[in-house]
Amino acid sequence: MEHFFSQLSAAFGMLADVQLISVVLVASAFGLFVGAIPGLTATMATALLVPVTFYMTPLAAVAAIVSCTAMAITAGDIPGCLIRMPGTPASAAYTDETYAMTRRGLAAQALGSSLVSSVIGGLFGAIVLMIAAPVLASYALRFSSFEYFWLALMGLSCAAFISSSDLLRGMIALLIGLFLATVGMDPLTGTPRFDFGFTALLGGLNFIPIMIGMFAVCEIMNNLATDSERVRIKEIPKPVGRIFAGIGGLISRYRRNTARGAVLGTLIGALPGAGGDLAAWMSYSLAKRFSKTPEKFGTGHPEGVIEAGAANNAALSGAWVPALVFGIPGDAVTAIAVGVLIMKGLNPGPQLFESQAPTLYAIYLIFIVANLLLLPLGWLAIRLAMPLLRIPPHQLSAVILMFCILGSYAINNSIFDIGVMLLFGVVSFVLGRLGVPKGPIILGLVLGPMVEMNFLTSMAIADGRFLGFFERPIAGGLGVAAILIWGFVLMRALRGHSDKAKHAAKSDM
Amino acid sequence: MSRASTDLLFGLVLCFAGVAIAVVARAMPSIAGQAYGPGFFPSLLAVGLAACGLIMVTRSILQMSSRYAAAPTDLNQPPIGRRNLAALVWVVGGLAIIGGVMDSVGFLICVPVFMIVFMVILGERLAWSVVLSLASTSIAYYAFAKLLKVQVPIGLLDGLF
Amino acid sequence: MNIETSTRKPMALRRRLLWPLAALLTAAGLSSTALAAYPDRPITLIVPWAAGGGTDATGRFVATLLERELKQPVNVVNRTGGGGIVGHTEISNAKPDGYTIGVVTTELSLYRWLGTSQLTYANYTPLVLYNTDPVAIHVQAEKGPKNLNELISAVKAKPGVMKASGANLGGLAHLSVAGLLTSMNIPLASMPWVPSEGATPSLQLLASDAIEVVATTMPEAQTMVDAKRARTLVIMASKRDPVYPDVLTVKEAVGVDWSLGAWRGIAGPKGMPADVTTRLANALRKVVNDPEFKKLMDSRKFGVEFADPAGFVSYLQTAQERFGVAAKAAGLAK
Repeated sequence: MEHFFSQLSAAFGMLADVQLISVVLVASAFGLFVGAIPGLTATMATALLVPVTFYMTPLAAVAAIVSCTAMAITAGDIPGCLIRMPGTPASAAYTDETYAMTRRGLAAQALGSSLVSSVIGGLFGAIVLMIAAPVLASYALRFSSFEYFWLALMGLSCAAFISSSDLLRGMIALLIGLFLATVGMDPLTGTPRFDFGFTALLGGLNFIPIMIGMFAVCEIMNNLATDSERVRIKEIPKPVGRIFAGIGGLISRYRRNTARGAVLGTLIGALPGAGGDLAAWMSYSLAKRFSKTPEKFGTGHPEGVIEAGAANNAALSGAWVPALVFGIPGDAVTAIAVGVLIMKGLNPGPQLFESQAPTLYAIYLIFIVANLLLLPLGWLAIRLAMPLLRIPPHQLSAVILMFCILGSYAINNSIFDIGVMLLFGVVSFVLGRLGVPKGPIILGLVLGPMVEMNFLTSMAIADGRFLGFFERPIAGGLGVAAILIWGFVLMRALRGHSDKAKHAAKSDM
Repeated sequence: MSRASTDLLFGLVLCFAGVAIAVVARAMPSIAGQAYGPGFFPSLLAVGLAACGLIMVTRSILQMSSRYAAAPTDLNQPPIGRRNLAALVWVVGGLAIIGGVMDSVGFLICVPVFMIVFMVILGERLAWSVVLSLASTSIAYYAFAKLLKVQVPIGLLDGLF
Repeated sequence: MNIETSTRKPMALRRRLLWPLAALLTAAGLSSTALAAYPDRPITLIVPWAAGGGTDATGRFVATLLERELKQPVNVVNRTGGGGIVGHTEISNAKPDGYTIGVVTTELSLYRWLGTSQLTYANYTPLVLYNTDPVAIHVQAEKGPKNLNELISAVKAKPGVMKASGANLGGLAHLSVAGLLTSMNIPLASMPWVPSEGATPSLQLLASDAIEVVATTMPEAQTMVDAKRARTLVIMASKRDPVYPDVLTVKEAVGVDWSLGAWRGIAGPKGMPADVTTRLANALRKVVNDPEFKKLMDSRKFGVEFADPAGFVSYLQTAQERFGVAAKAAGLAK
């Protein structure tokens, strides 16, 4: 216990740093800005932030990412409520509900309840992270390459199964990501693979230009292709009233929803491949199912908003649990964060909890600080929302593209990376049009080396016998679980397909 | 093009990619003293991709046959307006050009030009586009090159700063 | 700061300053004439590894102090990729005017042997050696053998059962173990090498009882040794490390003379003018022997070792030979 407090006080010492605090404030402002503008996502904000975090201390870099994403997810509720366009995909689940509240003249209540429930959800997720991560880490110290192989494999399957309604498309996305991860020198033997004769590719594809391409350039292309997203705002809502008036009563009336949203959100966030958007959708439908007044949903009822608002922010913290303990990111944002941690020499894994304990405590504290900061900064963002929403979209796109170019270049001072960014922007745009989800591609990229290397390392230890993967007790258990999950999902996919076929045949007749 | 026929094409591309990866992966060296070499994992992925491609092809052929025509998988993607299409093409082409010339011409020249063309295509006023792009690139250049000490290519403007 | 003060100056003064400024710019353009006052503009220090890593950290230590010494900015540029080949190539291809130098690392002693690149120390002007970290052998703290002799007899008794790791195939750790086994006439297959991504994952394998031996430098194993999950048997150095006075050298433990380690130094491209080389070497001598540098290196547990250009060259010669022996022993030399 004494140990714990000394770590904690060391962590507080790390936080009391002017530079760190200003980083958090600037990143928060940036996150609020990006989140409040429809068409710009929290992942995009993170990808654009990374080239700058590159020049910070590891803690400041993580702090920037954490505060930026928490703000972006929360600010995404604002345009959804005011003009019926979700600022980030995580707000899409309850956009119609909050807009309906606005039309009933309850805009202030909608924004206030989603803001406060977000803060509660975020704080809950942060506390879970704080407690669960070190416990898991001390357990994970006994894990060898065999256990990691199974864990990474389960993470991968999870990503493919959850992220798309079409299992086949999820699998394709996953395989594409895994393949991209093999580009460059094989880390175990130094054999060059798929480098197409480019020396720059020997070290592998650079993660940051890929992310900027996939989440910034591609989003801009998507916005151009659909255009409907950001047409001129004709209807200008009336100024919002007192945001926090009566919210306390509302939250305590729906305290069960708040709690359920926070718990579910944290759990879903921790699943690889599932992030805040899925957590929000699930919580919203759960709220409706268990509500005493389900008929009120969709007419401007705060119950679902509170539950889903808590869930998407909780998911954000939940995603960091597997990311810090195993290096298996829970969503695209933590995938980027894992990349940043590795670049900073803080390789995620159980050893990090021993060698860098104060830094980790400082990271937890930043989650709490960022979520508390949401109250004043979120209030400010709501006040400033209308001018933000009037920023001409094309001019904004032009400036974002400029930062994409600069950011991709700055990571390695290399023009080659601008090419990588462009290539991935175009490829993910085309894949998006074909209905292939992005999430599994990113997870494949991050987890691919983990699966491959742990497989090859384990094979070397087991002298090439595949049974070696089941000989250690934990590995054996994980292996059986992984195989069961695969069998179950494949069975369901096959049966579902034949069911659908039967249905189609029936309706035809 | 209907959903099913794009799927057919996509499936064929995946099959082809799978075969191509498999061919390259098989040529990778095996390592003495190791059961599985650097080509093992890529070969596995190649098989997976080709299999997914095959399933995609089969599924789309099934869908195209009359019985499945009612399947609600059609994504209604509205046609892209001419301005936006031109801007899309410019994003790709312009970024490619920047990749080719930024080292010799310099960030402060080619990126503003890229931005101005982008905005003008989309119907923004020329004068304002020039002001906005020059201002934003200069600020960004200052931040990265002077504060973060990134060696942003200066190109033709070398010696002015 | 300069800009601020000059904008505040009255107009006439500014105009008077303009001509010399233009002249200076022209002179900078024709840099050959400006050599007399080396260095008169910022210096670029290329780091062939990613920002945040050990080489980057130590390179930035050098850069900070060198900046003070030379009174010119020293900009650190990370040129990563290809296992350091991209950055090392760039240093050797730079214009030999002293304005582009770089950090060269252990891998330079290896490229030629593994056939990954033709670069050797002969492609550079070595300026200073500032860090060496010998490889050490680590075993499980509780179950592991008590000393190197015990380990060796266990390996001989049951060949192929004990597995060792530390890094990739053909990396420093692998070669150090291959060289050690060969120098004691033990076949390599007696202790098979398990390739891994690096020291941290290897130590994790050791701690989780999947393998028995890990070869890595002392700083990299520090946390695991402190946490009593790994124990150091021997260090592959010619003499004991004063920081770890209880750790025997290989020679003390089994009487075989075998040493190998990681090194880092500063070098420029081949063919730098003698006066520039001397200026830089003198500045770097002061940097590396500065107590502040020692303090910075200690903070990340990097061993400081100084050698002037001549000493650095002979160090590199020995390293090149030793790595050749090890690579041939491991059957990896091309």
